[in-house]
Amino acid sequence: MSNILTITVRELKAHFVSPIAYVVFVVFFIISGWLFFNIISYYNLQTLQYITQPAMLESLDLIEMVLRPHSYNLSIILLLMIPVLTMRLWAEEKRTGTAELLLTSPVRLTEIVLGKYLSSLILLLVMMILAFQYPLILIIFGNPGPGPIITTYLGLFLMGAAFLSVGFFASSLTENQIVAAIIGFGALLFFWVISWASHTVGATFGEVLSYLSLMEHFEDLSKGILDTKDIVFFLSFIFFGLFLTHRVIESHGWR
Amino acid sequence: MEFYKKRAVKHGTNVFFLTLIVIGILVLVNFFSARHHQRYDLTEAKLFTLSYQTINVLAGLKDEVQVTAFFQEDRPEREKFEDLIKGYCYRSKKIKVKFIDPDKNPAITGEYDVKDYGTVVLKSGKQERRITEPNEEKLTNALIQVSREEAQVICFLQGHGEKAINDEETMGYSLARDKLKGEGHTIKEILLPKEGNVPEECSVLVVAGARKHLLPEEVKLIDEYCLQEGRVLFLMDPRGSPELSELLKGWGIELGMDLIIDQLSRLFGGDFAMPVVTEYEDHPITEAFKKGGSVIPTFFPVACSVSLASETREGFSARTLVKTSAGSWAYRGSVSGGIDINPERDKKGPITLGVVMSGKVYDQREEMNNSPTSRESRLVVFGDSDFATNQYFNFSGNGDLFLNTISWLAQEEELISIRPKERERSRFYLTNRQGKFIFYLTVVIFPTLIILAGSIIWWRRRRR
Repeated sequence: MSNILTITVRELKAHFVSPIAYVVFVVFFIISGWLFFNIISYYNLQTLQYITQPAMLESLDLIEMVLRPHSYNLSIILLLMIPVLTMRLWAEEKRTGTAELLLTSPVRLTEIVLGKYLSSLILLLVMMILAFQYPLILIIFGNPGPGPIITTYLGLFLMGAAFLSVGFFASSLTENQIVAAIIGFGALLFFWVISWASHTVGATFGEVLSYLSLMEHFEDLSKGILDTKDIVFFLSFIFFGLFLTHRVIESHGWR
Repeated sequence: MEFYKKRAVKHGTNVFFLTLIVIGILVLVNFFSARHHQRYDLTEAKLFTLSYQTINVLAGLKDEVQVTAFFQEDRPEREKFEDLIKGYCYRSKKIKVKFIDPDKNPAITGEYDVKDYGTVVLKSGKQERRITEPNEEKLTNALIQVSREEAQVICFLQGHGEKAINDEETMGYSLARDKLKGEGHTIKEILLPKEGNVPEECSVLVVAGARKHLLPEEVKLIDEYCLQEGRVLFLMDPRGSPELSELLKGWGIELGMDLIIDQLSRLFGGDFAMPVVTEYEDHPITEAFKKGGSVIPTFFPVACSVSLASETREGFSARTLVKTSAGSWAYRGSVSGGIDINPERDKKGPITLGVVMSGKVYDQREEMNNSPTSRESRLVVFGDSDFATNQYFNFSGNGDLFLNTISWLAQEEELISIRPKERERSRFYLTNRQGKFIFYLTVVIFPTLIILAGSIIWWRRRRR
């Protein structure tokens, strides 16, 4: 256990030394802040417009009209930013040659994998906590229910963790960081659009396809519904990503 | 060298199979979790939780119910309904859902005879029900109706010149009969003197345009039937059976000795004696007629007025259902030689053409036992029987008015009323200053802080 933590701390330090994490954070928050501001401005405008029609006013729900669209925006930005955060995790080791050092050390491969993943998970957690400023603003100035906020951010975190596992895996495939990032983008986009075909292909195949879509499982969570099958899916997805990464790194040892 | 290669291949195969096994396990785990999962609704207003009435109905479902929903894809209505029906499927494995986009599948949409977006068809065994603009209340009620085992028997009174259900001529009711059968009902013609009383099996009694005299015994039987949980549709024409007019008078419903004239109907290309109705009171029978801003008109060829007396029988309440336009008249003059409206004799519109009455006779025993087992009586009276004949059935909203009325009368239990979930009124008013403050905080200050933090660390490293 302590081995894992050591690796985690080492990776975290590396994250903060490199400018990449900062740039990602800055870009993430500028864009999401701007989008958030736009959404609440529009919402505010609508509230003022409908102030004379109480019936319409009821349909203006903070969760439905602000938090949900904003959370979808956040997930897209995450999708774009995460491959950049993860690209360096394995690729750099190979490039600088520290890979052999790591693999021949007494630390087990599983611990290395978990340690590295945990470090990026913590980074994600920090991002999520900082992104909590948006619902916080809603709470200060309005009265949204707590339930949907919790499930939405839980969903964002789980989805982000799933994104991380994809980027993680992509990074293990190559020593070129850019290639790792591109593979990561491609894979994440694939899992995002995979459900688009679900309506046209047959019924059962369509169901399978939409089950595999990461966004599908975020939907219920963004509405305030906590469904165990969504949690199970995300955890399975993450496990599989880490499992594959483990296999790939391990097989490098035999080359 | 060879040794090395062999090892690599063996390793590769191992990995391959191991991966397959892991995939297999994950698929199984997910499959299992998809079948047996728990949903928790964490919204404040419990928007996604079903009411206890719906849950009870779902728990008691015995047969499979096929739900076919006709929505355009990517519309908020579709998503709303999907959320709703997901909750139903979660509670009962007997609900099977299929979504069809009418634009992409016109053939299937035509097969189901669906004309509006947002129609949901429920089928169970031989029963079928359809609803539009679904919400939890409508959906659960439709579910109740469609999962009932016995078909409803609609009895048509005979023997006094009523419209015949097997008559396929213009004045017949064969179209109405076919439509009712299509909804899963059974149709029966009854002759009261022969039957002895209104048969037990009759869910609804229809008196369609009786013209000749009724025997006193027949009147008595109908009156008793109305009192005891009766469901009757009276379609009365001008100068119809006088005994029935008397009967209805006793119930507080008066049929005018007049003919409704409507100038407005001329605009529609109709006769002056075919008033058109575009005003409907709020009632389950007519709510579908005034949807989304547009109104579906109905036409009543040769009709008389129906008015409500100030006093009705104890325990019963009545309301108007359909009214003609303000430009209509309840004409009491003669028709031969042209219409000659006399404002002193004739009443100016809007004239009521149809009324509904419902209620229960107070039963002391029931009150004491605290068991409301008897259902309420329901009467619907229209001043015309021709609007549902073969000639006019397919005119505009006529057919639907007839079918909706029968549906409402045939309902076994009280309409389950489920209060719609109320979203809490969101208070979120930002002043200009507050808005600006938020903008600067989130888009400018916050990212700048991050840049600062990064720069400090970078600078410190350089220093070292």
